[in-house]
Amino acid sequence: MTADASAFATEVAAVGLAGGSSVLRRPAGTWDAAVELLARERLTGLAVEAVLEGRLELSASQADELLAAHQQAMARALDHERVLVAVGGALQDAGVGVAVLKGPAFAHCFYRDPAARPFADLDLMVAADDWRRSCTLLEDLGYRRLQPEPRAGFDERFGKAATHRDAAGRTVDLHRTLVVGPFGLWIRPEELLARLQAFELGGRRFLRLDDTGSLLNACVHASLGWWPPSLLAVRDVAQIALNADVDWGRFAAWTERWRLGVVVADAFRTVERLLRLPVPPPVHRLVTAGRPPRERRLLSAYQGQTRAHSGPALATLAAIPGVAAKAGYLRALLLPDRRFLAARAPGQPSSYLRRWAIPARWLTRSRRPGT
Amino acid sequence: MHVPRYRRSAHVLWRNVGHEVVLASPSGEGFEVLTGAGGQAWRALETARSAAELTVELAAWFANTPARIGAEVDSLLTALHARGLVERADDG
Repeated sequence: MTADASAFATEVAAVGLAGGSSVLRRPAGTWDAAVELLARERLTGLAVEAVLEGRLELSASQADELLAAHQQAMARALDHERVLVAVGGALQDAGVGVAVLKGPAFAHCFYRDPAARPFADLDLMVAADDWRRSCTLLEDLGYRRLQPEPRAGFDERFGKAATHRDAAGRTVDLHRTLVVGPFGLWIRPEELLARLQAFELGGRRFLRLDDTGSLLNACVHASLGWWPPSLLAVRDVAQIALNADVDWGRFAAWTERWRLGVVVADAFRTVERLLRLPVPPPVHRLVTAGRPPRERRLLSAYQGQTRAHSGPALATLAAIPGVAAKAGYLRALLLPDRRFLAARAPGQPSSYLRRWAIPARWLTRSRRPGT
Repeated sequence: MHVPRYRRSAHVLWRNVGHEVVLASPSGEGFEVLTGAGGQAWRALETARSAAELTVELAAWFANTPARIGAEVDSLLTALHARGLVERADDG
């Protein structure tokens, strides 16, 4: 029996969960294409697990191809763990309180074998007060920021993260909050950073969000991180909800106070739909509660075509309190520094007109009747 | 006579890749790959073991006799120790 490639990848994402298949159907297309999809979705580890447990039968050459892709994924993950030891260690030594998000933290703390949870970058979160110093330290360590901030001070007020890369292509996302846009602004990072847990890696002790913060991070990433949702991000939600020591009362309180109800509900419904895992009883009320239409509209800014047309950036206005701050945000978006424009369109003359066309198109679309 | 016991060095980063194990030294660039009995030996070295203990364990695992694989286990431990990938449990 066979499945199409995306159905196959979805089955792989559910390997080992109660709703997962005991025997996986092989994809109907070429195995090359299936392995490519598994690598892109970062599911090679779960696929290898399925082979070792006898849930997925492959020919010798198919197994070799899968193992080769998985070895590449693991080399990339290990390389970023080296980055964590070097960069995370340097930030700690400089007195910066830094929390490891997702990647190595999820792999080592919530999966039985970290090989099941590949990652291809490193996400570190610091307090807004440590933001500038951390960016400078990264530059000193050879990591160049890919996009300058639109205007001075934008990062600390409205920003989510800045991507830095070294000469070897290794990537560090330095976070101030968990996600771009309105939901990222409603989250209180200082509360997440006040409840950290330790884990050890490479002979050093690092900090991560505690289990409750990690589940919230996983929900935010599964619902708002990618469109369509990343299967591994959806698996993270299930994996943490089932295996972590979540303080469900605090999870519900944070969800309500940070207006993440629609996001958490979306994440758990996606787990239910794709991985066939029922919504866990402790979050049942959160998932089934009615949510204000405004929050549902904001969620839709992260999905489909709206996301591709700067939906989250424009929806951010809804979460910025006060006219002056809203004006500051709009000014930074519409009249960013020339350096920012040049980085957005390398090799082209910096143009405000091109930039203004984005919100103009968005406004035009949103005014159509029925949209 | 003092019999050294070995365990994985705490600073080594590693992953299972099927039956193989990929190792990365934090300060290095490349990777080491342990295949077959090497991978199984690495998993066993989560807790400290002498070469003889490891030999007996691997012999049982691979349905072999300790006499046949003892020399190979010795060389594997020597090589891993020389690269700093395992440490002697009594080194502190």
